[in-house]
Amino acid sequence: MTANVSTPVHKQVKAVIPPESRAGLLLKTFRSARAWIVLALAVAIWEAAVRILDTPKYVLPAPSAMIVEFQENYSLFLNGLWATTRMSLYGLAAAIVIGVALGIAMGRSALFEELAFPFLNIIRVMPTIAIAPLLIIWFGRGGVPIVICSCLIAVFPIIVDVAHGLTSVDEDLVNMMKLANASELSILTQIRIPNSLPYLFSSFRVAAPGAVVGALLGEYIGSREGLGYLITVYSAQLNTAAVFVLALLSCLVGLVFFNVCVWLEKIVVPWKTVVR
Amino acid sequence: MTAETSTSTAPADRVDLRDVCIVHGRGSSAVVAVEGVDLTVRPREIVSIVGHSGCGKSTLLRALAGLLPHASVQGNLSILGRSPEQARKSGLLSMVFQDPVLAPWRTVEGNIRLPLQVARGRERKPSKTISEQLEVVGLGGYEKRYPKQLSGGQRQRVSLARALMMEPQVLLMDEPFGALDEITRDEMHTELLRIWGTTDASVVVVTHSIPEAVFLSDRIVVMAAHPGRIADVVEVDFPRPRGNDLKDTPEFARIAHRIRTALEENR
Ligand SMILES: Nc1ncnc2c1ncn2[C@@H]1O[C@H](COP(=O)(O)OP(=O)(O)OP(=O)(O)O)[C@@H](O)[C@H]1O
Ligand SMILES: [Mg+2]
Repeated sequence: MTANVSTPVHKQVKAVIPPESRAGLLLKTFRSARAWIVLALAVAIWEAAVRILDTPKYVLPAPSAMIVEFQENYSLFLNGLWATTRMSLYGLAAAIVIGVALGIAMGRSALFEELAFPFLNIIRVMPTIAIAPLLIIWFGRGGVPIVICSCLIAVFPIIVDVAHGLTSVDEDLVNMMKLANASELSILTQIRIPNSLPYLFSSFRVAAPGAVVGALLGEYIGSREGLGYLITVYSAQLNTAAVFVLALLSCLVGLVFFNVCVWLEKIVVPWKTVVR
Repeated sequence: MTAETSTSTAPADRVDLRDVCIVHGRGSSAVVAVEGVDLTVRPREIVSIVGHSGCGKSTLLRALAGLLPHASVQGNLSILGRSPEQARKSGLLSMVFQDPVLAPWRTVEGNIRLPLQVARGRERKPSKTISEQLEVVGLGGYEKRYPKQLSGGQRQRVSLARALMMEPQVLLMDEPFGALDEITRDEMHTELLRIWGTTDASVVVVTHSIPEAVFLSDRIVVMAAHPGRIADVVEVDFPRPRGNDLKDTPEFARIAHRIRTALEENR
């Protein structure tokens, strides 16, 4: 009965778990679809405006005119789409092989970096559109100059990021390996390369759409197939609806490339995403 | 007679430094980081190094680990009669850093296995499995987690487990608990002493915390700066095992005070 007994401070309070969101199924569907609904609205307004204002078809075609155009020539367009996709894939593959090799060389050898840097920088700042005609003189009209154009645009982000990924390793992680008497090769394969993977994949997000742009550019300047070539043909005919369709198909290739990279990144490097 | 036997069979020092000087850089940009350091560490001794920021503690530890370029280290450094590089290559050393430096792409288990996996010319099999080692540092059952899924204190325990897995003769620690809060740090102190009790390692620990140094050590080396040198060596002979209550005793406060005075006289 002395004053020393203190009342227990442990109160019987329970946390309230917030219930499931009350938004109904309809509302949820609407939320997930609203961006698309806005897009559809924009297309509808476009269609209405073109019909009401009666704009000439070669200035601004209605979306319906594009659909008609696509239906009439779809096999031609899809062939072009496939050709461009193939060229972009070759260009990207070449860029990955060359970019990773040069990136490793630059990241691991200060001498190589010093000697190669001026050359790479000159090629980097030189507009691909200025080199493309040269490539056609050297390699003729065909796949080779297109793949080179594609590779030229895609390769630089890969070189830079691979080199950066190899050198931005925590120095103490390397010291820890040295204390275990690890070989330089183990440090490369166990530390530097895994450390550079997030950088590599983040460079793909830039390089992959770049490869598509490069392929289109190559086709634009000298080719007999692909979306870039078809754009030159139809714009010469003032067939604006077809040019719009081709531009949209080009976007599609770029978007697919970008999203495949993002998806691969999530699978291969789940531990880290480099924000750039 | 027993006394004589014990002195004649006393094991040699684990670490022996004589007239050690360390110079970063050369010519006009050279920095003398450490000058004229003598230090010995006996088997199963815990020696801590305290001193003001920039006085060369990490540099000295890196020299012991054989991580500095040859040209910058002068004097005699011997770890069990070998040079630091040889000691490192024989797997006699492990190090715990201020940050856990775990590989984020490896699980806890994978991180602890990493140094064993890459160690060249190592025949010794570890006497504990990784799971047992994790049990020792209080992380039993955490094998499959990724570093991201751990708290700061848990990560540092993994880092400690990784170092202990190598069963080093000399464990080097550079402000191992510097990034932890005080409660976790106190907990890690008793843990470290308990774990150390089960090993054969000598420990050299760099710290900014005076209570940490007094609590852990058999000897405290106080360093002075510009150039880095040893200003004072304080013996701490509290019996082991030590509990956290020790930190509240007047004797503990007296030694802490002596270290603080030595640090103030040498700023
Ligand atoms: N690589 C280097 N090149 C030149 N000078 C260096 C280098 N590393 C350290 N120094 C200098 O050597 C001195 C000692 O550095 P060191 O890192 O050993 O200090 P420290 O006692 O560990 O400090 P802290 O307590 O802040 O970690 C400092 O003056 C520092 O500027
Ligand atoms: Mg330091």
